[in-house]
Amino acid sequence: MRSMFTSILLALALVMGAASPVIAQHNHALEADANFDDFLNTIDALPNAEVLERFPDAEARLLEVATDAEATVFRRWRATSMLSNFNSPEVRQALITLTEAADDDLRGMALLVLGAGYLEGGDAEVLAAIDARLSDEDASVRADAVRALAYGHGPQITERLERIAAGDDARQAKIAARALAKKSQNPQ
Amino acid sequence: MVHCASFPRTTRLLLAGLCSTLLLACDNTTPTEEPIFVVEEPDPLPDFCEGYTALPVDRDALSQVPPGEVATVKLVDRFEVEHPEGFSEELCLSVPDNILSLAVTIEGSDRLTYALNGWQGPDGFEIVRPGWNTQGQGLCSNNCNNRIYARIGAFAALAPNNPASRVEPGRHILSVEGRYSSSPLAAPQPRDGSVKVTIHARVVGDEVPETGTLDLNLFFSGSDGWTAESAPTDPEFQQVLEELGEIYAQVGIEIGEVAYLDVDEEYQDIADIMSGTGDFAELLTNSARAPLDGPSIFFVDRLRSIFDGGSEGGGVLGISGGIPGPVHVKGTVASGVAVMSHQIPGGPPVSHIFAHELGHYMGLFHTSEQNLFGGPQMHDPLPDTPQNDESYLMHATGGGDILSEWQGIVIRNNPWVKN
Repeated sequence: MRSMFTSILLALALVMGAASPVIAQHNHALEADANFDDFLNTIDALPNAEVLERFPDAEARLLEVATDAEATVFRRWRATSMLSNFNSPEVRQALITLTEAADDDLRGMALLVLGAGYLEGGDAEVLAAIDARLSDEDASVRADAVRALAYGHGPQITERLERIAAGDDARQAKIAARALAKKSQNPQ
Repeated sequence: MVHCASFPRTTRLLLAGLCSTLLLACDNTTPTEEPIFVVEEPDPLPDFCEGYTALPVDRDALSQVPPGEVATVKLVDRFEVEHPEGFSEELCLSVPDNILSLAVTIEGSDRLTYALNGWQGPDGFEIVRPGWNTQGQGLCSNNCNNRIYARIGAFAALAPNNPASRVEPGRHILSVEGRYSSSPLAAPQPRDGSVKVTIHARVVGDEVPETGTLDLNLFFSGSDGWTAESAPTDPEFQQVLEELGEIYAQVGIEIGEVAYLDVDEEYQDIADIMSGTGDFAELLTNSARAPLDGPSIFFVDRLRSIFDGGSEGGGVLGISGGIPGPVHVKGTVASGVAVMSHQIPGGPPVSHIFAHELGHYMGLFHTSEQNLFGGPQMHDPLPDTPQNDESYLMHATGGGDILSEWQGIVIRNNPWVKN
């Protein structure tokens, strides 16, 4: 519910817009673009259902930024993380591609979103993308690959987690062991 | 579990600690801080609060403050308050003559969202407008003299936090509300329960202090190799700490003692920054181990919300347990902030994220919110923070490092600050 002050301001804005509807509509579109763009630069805000509702093309916008090699890693990382709000073949494919991005933060986030949204019982292509990153050169990405794996369920996943839990990478092993413990407590 | 989505859109737009606001639980068994003076006796003037529920305050304790000195006084210590059908009775508090600021902290259930339903000072001045949250919107901004924000599990309010608000000596009447949301998309509804109310006051002598000291409890999950053992001598981390100190020095705040502690490696990846029972909430309860009288900061590798196919999925660089966070109350699900321990290329440096989230915890709102819904943009209630100026620390992008004079006043009003 808007506050009275907000309502007054909104009413004023509507009145001003009514005085020149064409200009107002044009400015509104530009402002919306700018606002969406700015939102990606915020450090501690997440989109909610109403934001996504206001921008029906949010998925396409986020895909564009996430895969834009010219954009900063931070903006791509934010966009990639917010792709978790969508489930589509386009997003799935983009995430698989992003698991091979040059930046480790981007690879890590792509793995987490991919695992959470698309691994399920062991989607072969998704599983292959995650498997490939279990031996990533970056330790955090390797850890994220195990976390991504842990989102899945079924024998293929359990077998992999057990192997990692018994492996040489101590950090990966701990994450895998915790994931197995949780799965045993909450079996699918 | 309550999500930001439980609140209407203007509220949900509020970022930062905002969504963190809806965080989780606590069981009321955690220890509280011992400030300089602790009030133990009931109010000697019961008539002063006739018609209200008198909070147990010993005004004599205030006289223990040496004349002319600044001090923090615990006026009310975890007083149990029932809120049948969502709302408590009106609580009465006697505020002393030498008051500078008050901080109210509410500890409750991890299932409910808490706020002050109203707060009235002497002469009927509405610090927080009674009944402001009738729709469960969660944020009292332009329609409250003192901006407050509801939060799951534990809530805090700091007043004054802008020029329109004031805390004057005399009788203060306040009430507590607790709400429950049956689903992420449902507006929180009033709900029975009980909470613990703690109130701290900053009292002063002849002059309002323009400086202060803030102690910090730093917790390390091992992310980026930082641990309690390595961080004190790690050049990169010490650089972060130095830059933090420079930012807060602008407003007379000196970083005082710093404690280094570890938390379990499990917390390197915080996968649920939104819910009332997730790992972020759990992480913040580690603040119960904090040895110093100061906020707790947790350094982690990943901060994200649950990727459950619903809304509000995404990653953030930092998050606060409230605006402000609980004051001199440790161990709750809101008692601290979390910060990513490395800079993502193109994003703000770790020192700025650290300083930004600490700013939220001390009571600062974003100077300007990103206006995703169109219509009027929301700004903080301070007169000297330019709108949409990214050079300011508390802009939503977190890239700047400037703190204004009024932001300094708000920070120094927080009883975590020592003199």
